[in-house]
Amino acid sequence: MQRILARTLLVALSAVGCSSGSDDSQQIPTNSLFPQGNNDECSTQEAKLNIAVDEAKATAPLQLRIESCRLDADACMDLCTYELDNLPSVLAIFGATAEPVDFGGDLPTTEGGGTLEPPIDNAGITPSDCKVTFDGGTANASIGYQAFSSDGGCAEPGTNGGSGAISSPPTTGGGP
Amino acid sequence: MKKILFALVIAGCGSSQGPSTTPPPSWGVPVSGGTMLVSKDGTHVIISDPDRDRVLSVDLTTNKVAAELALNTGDEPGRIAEDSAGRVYVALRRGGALLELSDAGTLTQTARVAVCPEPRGLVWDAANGVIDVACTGGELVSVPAGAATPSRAVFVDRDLRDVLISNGQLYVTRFRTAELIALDPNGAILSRVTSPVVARFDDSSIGIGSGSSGGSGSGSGSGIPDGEVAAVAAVAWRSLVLPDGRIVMAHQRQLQTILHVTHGGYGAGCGDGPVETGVSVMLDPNPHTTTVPFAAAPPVIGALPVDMATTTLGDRIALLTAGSQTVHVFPTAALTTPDDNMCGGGSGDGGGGSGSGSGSGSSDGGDMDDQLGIPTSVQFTASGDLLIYYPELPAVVVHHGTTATTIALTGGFGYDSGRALFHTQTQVGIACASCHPEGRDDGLVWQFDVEGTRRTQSIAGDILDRAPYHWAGDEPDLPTLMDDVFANRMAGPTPTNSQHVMLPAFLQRVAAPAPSSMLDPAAVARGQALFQSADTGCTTCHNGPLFTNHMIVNVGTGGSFKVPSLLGVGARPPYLHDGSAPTLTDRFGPQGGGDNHGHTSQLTPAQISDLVTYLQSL
Repeated sequence: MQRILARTLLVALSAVGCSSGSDDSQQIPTNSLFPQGNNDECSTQEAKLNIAVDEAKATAPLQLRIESCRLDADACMDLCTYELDNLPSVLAIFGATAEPVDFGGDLPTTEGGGTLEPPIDNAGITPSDCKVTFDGGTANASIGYQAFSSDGGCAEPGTNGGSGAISSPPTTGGGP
Repeated sequence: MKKILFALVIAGCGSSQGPSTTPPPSWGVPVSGGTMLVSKDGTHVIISDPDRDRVLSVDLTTNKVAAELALNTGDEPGRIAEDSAGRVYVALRRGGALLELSDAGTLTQTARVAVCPEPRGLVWDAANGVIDVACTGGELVSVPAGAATPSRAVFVDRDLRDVLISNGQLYVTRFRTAELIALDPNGAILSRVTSPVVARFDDSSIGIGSGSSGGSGSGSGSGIPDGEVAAVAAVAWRSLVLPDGRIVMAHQRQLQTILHVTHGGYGAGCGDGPVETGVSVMLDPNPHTTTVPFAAAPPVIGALPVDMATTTLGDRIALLTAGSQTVHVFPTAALTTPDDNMCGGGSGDGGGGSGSGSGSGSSDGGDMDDQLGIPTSVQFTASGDLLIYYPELPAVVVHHGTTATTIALTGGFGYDSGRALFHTQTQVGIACASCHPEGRDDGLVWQFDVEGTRRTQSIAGDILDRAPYHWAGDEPDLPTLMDDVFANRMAGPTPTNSQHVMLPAFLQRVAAPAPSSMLDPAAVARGQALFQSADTGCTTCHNGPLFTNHMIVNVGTGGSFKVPSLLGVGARPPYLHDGSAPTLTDRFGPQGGGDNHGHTSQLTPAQISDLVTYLQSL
């Protein structure tokens, strides 16, 4: 129920153009992370998000997962899951970028350093795909996941129970 | 040539690299907990790092590493104590020694004193000017402050854990049986207590009651009604003395229920699994509770309560559950709430209790989840800030109210997916280490739906060379066992390829328990001669470096079973596949299969005693 309410709120905010007043360039449009489809139907769409993080500037929890992934490919799914779960705090890392792809591709790359409003809580979404490469100290993750295209009839979307929602920012992580 | 040049250009372009597809070398040791100490002057926190064989000191005024002392490979530093003069002592769990350091700020080594093969708990006995060391071999060793040799060693009982002083009285705890033992000044046992048996709801109650928990249960299981099961105290990870003299123990509880070998079949009770976290007041010199030992309402649901700490004032307690990677802070006043919730944990403090917090707590109460991997130790500073140690990065997180500060430590990143898997609780609330604490065994007997009664097997000591696995030898290799037990019965995620490789490699480095250092060598020699004689025939099956021929045989104990390794056998009562022999001597009694199990009926009691002493030396 909480998810449904949050999701409804998210859509409503989008509809009236609500803004927190923060720098809009710091935002990823939420309807891009969760592509909108027919509101009367619950459908999913495979979406993909590319995230780049400079490990030297990453929070300790993110560093732990980046280093684990570097040493062990089997640990990379945990990194992708963490990044998706904590997207606002990951993007608050200076220099971090995120680029939604595969559904339009017209979204700006987001540079970190600010706070995303409204924060997006993707907790509970398990990535369907996770590819990580390293460019020196930068970890590039390409994360595939199921995005839900409707706010109706998706009480418990997906087998992983995840959904786009508005919530408080995670308490861990943080800015530069 | 062009091809080579092209390849060089490609390789030199700084192109991105993928993660390693080859698992890295095994890293770290099983979590033991209780490896941090804040100096009495409040300026430093001393950290034992058993995963890297070193001791660290962090200056709490600057949040910087003040000193680091490298130890010998395999020393495995553990508990820490400080004497009245500010000297610091560290138990070397595998190094078999007590390390003496000049002070908390410099960690200058002043002595290394051999005390026993496996030292565990430490306490500074100010009245006598000695550090008392409790050992798994049963030794209690006293070392005068600053001395290079012990002044005394007495045998108390096997499997000692913490050593404590309350109101001038000396106590030790036993690990697997979760007993508190009071000692007189000479080290003689005055009394033993265990936490009371409590009841839990269960659909598969069979009322196996007490008496199979390693020989120490105080046993009220027979009074448990239908539909309920006894939850018996076991595995005392950490005990401490509160400022008011109470002794509190963080331990596990075994729900004596039926276990199924189906998916999630190890779930029990209210879904929290057959092993719970318990907190008990074992001693109370003040009129806080009506009776002691007192089973307090478990403040949290979570596997592996490996460490616990209290504030200087004694008003709060932090309980670390490694399985849920959470530290739960609750008011000490909650210790007077009885454990009468039939579903177990999560009550009594109003400060959370889910064991799956997301960092919403504060050092004043609630769950702390820093998402930094498995925490292994917890302490409070003099001002009440909470310190949590995470060995993988490594890092210490300081919680001050709702603010958290991460102190990055030196030492480099440590990673082992097998170690992580071993300590991670699954959907049924248990981790591998719940039944195999510190990579060994919990000494408990379990009732299975199909197989019947089975004692937890020890997995310490050359595990890779001991296939096939389980009592019947029906698990051909460890990856197969992991898929069956962890993913199926425990309802955990399917182990990755990396985990299939790294968990066996991690466990392979866990040594079998060392024998006690206080065995009579003459008796050991006589027993060895008997063991190796053709007349007894012991070596027909118990041969080779692991004392097993790996065969499945029927020796008249109730079925055909894999010949178990005898390495460390003296440290793992009860014996036989169903734990029906409480002691090694009992194994040579009626339960042991008679002359189908070796040929020992002709031996005198004295010879049996010698044979048992020899077995205890393995």
